[in-house]
Amino acid sequence: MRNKNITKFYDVSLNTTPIPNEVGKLTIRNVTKIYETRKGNITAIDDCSLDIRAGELCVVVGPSGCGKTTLLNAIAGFMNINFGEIYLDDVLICNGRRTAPPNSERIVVFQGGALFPWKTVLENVIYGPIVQRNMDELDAKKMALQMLGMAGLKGIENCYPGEISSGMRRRVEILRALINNPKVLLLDEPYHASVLSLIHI
Amino acid sequence: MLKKNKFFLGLIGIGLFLATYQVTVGVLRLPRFRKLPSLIEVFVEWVTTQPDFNISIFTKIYYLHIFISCGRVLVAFVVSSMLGIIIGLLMGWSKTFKDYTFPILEIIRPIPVLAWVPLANLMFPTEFGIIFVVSLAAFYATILNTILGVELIDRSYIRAALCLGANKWQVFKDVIIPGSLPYIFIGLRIGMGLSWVCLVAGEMLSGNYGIGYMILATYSLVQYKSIVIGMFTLGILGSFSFYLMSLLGNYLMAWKVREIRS
Repeated sequence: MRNKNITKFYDVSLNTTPIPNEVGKLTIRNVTKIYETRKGNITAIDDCSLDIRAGELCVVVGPSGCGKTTLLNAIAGFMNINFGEIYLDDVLICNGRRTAPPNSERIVVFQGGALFPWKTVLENVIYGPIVQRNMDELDAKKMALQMLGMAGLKGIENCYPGEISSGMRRRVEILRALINNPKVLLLDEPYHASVLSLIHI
Repeated sequence: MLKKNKFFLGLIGIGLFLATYQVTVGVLRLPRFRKLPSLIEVFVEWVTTQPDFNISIFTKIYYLHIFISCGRVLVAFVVSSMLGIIIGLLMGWSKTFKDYTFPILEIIRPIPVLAWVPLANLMFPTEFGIIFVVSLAAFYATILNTILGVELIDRSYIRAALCLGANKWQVFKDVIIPGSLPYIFIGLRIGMGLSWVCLVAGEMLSGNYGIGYMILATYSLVQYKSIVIGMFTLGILGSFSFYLMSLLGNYLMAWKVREIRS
C-alpha cells in the first residue's frame, strides 16, 4: 500500500540567508520509510531528497498523515529508515542499517508538547545543560531566566507546566531546546498552540 | 470553603451511618441484629476504665494488639512496596526483563493470598509468616500498577530527555520514576487496603496478638462488644494509614496537586 498523501517539501526560505561556516547542514538522500502494518505496508516517506543549508529555515508542508513527523523522527534518531541516507554537516547519521541515537545536536519540539509535568518551567529549561554538564546549575538558571524574560515569560519560572497556558508551554519548550544551542531545531507543528509563540521567540 | 464543606459532609455521613447502626441494633432491636451490641454499649466499653472484657482505651493489652498489628502492616507494606516498585519499574522499563518475569507473576498472582498461610507458617514459624502473607497482597497491587505506570508514560517525554542529552540512567531517574508515580501511588493505596485485609485474616489464622487475633479470640469468648471495638479500631487505623499515604503522595507529586488546583 502506498501513502497517497506523500509529503510535499517546500523550501520556504523566509529571507533566511544561509550563514557561512555555520553548523547544521542537513542532507537527506532518497529516504524511504515503510511501516509494516497488519493491513499491509504503508509507505510514509517515498524517496525523499532534500538539502537544508546551515542556518536555513525550512518548512515541510503537507496534509495530515503524509509523513512529516516520520521524516522529523528519522532526522532526530527516533526511528530507522528503510532506504536512503541522512547527513548532518556531512556526517552520516541515519541510513537503512543504522541510526545515530538522539542527542542535543538535533532537538525536537514535539507536536503534543513534551515539557516534563513534574518539573517546574525553570527546571525544564535547564534540564539539557545540566544533564550534559555543559553548565553549572547557577549559570544555567541565570541563562534560562534571561531567555524566559526575552520571550515574555518572566514570572512563571516556578510554575509547573500544568499551571500555564498551552501557548506559554510551547514557548517554554522552544526555549528548552534553544538553551542547548542545537545544530538543528526540529519543530513539529510549531503553530500548534499559537502563532504568537514563534513571534515571541 | 469547599474543603471545609467536604469535611463536614463526611462527618454528617459518618454520623448517619452510626445513627443507623444504633437505631437498627439498639432501638429497634431487629431480629437479625439482636445478638449484636448497640453502639452505646460498645462506646461505653471502649472508653471505660474498667471494661467488662479487658479491652478499652485504658487497658494495656488493647494498645499491644494495635502496636503489633501496625508493626506488621508497616514492615510488610514497606518491604512489599520497595520490592513491588523496584521490580515493577524494571519490568516496565526492560521488555526482556518483563518477558522473563511476567509469566511467573501471572502464575503466582491468581493464588489467593490466604492459601499461602500454611506454607508461610512452615517457612517462617515466627512472626514473619504473617508479614510474608501481608506483603504478598500489597506486592501484587504495587507491582502491577508500577508496570502500568511505566508503560503509560508518554513516549515523547523519553524522547525529549534523550534529545536533551540524557543518558539511560538519567531517563530512568528523571522521566520513568516521576512519570510513573501517579500509578505507583494508586498501587500503594490499593496495597495498603489489601495489607489490612490480609493482616486480619493472617492474624485470625495464626498469631497470638494483633487486632485480627483479638477479634477472633473475643468472638470465641462471646465478648461481642470487643469485636466491634476491634472493627472500629481497624477502620480508624486503616483510614489514618490512607491519610498518611495521601500526604506522602501530595508531597512527592506537588506538580499534580498544583495542576489540579489551577
